[in-house]
Amino acid sequence: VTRTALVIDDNPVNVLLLERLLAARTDLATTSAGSGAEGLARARENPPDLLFLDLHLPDMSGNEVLATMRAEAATALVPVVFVTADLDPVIAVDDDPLTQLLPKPLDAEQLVRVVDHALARP
Amino acid sequence: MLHDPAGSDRPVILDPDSPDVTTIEVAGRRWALLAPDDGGVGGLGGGLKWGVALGGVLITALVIVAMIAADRAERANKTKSQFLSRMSHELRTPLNAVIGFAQVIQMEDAPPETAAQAAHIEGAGRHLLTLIDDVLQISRIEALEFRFSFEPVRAGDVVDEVAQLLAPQARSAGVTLDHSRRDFDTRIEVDRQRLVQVLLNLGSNAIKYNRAGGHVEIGTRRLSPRTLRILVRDTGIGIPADQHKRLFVPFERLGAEATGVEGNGLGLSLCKGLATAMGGEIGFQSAAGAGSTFWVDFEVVDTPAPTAPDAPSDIVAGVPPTSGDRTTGDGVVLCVEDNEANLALVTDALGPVDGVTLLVARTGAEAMAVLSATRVDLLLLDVDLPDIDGATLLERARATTTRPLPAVVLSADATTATVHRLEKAGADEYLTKPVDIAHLIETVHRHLGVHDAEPATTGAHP
Repeated sequence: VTRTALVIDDNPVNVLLLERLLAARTDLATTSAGSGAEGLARARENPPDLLFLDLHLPDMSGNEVLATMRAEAATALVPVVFVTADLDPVIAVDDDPLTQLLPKPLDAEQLVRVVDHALARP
Repeated sequence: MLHDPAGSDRPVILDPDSPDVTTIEVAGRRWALLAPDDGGVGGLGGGLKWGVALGGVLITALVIVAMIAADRAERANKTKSQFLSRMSHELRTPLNAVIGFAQVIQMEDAPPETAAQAAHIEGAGRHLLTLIDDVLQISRIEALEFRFSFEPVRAGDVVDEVAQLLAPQARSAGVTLDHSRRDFDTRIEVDRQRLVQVLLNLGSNAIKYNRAGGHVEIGTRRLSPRTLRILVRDTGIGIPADQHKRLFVPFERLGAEATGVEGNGLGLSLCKGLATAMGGEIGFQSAAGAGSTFWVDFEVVDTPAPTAPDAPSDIVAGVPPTSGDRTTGDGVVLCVEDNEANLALVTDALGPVDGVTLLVARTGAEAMAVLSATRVDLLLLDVDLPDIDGATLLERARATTTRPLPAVVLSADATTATVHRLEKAGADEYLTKPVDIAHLIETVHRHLGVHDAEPATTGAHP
């Protein structure tokens, strides 16, 4: 069964890196969006099994994207991984079991653990 | 007059508005001038800076000059730390590509030589990352912007944890690692995570600068009834006496570059900064070829009876006052806080205050149990609870009653989104940690006072 991951990040190098680090996961098909609005549209249309979310997007913050998703039935339960270079990242919902945090620079092993954790949920 | 009238050892908080306290304004801040016999003052209230000994006019003038210099240095340190924080973020983004793609190359079917080169790029990138992190951490400690989370910690727990974390490194270096469980239950007041960081650093050095078949010991010594030493002893190459002075200087690796042992030259500076900021004293003893012992000394905290929820006290976790209490007219304050040290501070501050009955809860669930069982007039709410976020708890707490329930948020960081969420959720006020006791008492009085002014505040509610 192929699962889908959506990457919302305006930096194409970061998107490419995530895709390549996840290339070994043949069970995971990755698509991307370069803005919050585009990402939300894609997520609504085709809810992914996993969402990688940059905290700072050109049109809105990652926290706003998350809040919008959680408020809509189709995307309310999508596991979200915030990817951030912030030292003290400000995450609106820090006790949400569906939300994880992945610090930049990315570590390949940590990425695998986070992905496994997110996909392990029913 | 600055001592507790009751004659106890309780620290006294200086009130800047008291006629007993002389203050002057220097460098835009108010400073308390203390007579030399005012030793033992526990803290300064109302945004006062620190106190100085008041002597003759000349001494006072010199002290003022020193105060201005200290204030400038503090501001400069803060500016530097903020600059480094921003720079650290800007450096992390390109490092993401450097370290990330170096990993990608190694994961793919690259020729062995290419993979080895990619491993070098990754290693250098990670080295740069630790440099950035360590420089920033040192700078934040200097600028007093580093937030510690103090709590009473059992020495044995820390020693066990550090030994466990170091075991793999010791194994691969062929070094035996022992740890003693003496003084296991002795408690010290530290930030556990930061103490572990210090000891990991010292332990990692002890393994790295050792010899094959060497030995490392992590343990404790009770130097006196009041002092506990946590030490890391090795049988390694030792440090020649002429290098001892430069040991804690940043980027001084004392020739270790030539040995091929990896390091960034910041570890011991950072250890010293962290240990000192936690009230510890770091030291070492070493001679070339004879191994080294590094230690940190901490004051022992009085070992209280284990703080079980059923601790015998009139301030009992999760237990509402008897029904008789409800008619006394006391304002009932519920403090929801999971950190024992912070909880102790609040109970020490509010416990003896007349007209206040203090209840405590360590989790959101305990808080809801108290709220459903008894009347509460004011919530003191920590933002970081183990089982629920503060804003949700506040909403649920307010839903338990039709009466106004004012809430004061206690937060280590007044700028976090969590605090903004709590404000949105209707928190009336927030106090930043470390909590200023005088301000806390004043805040509680103010909120309870408002409450008392309303009719039918007691008795009418189940």
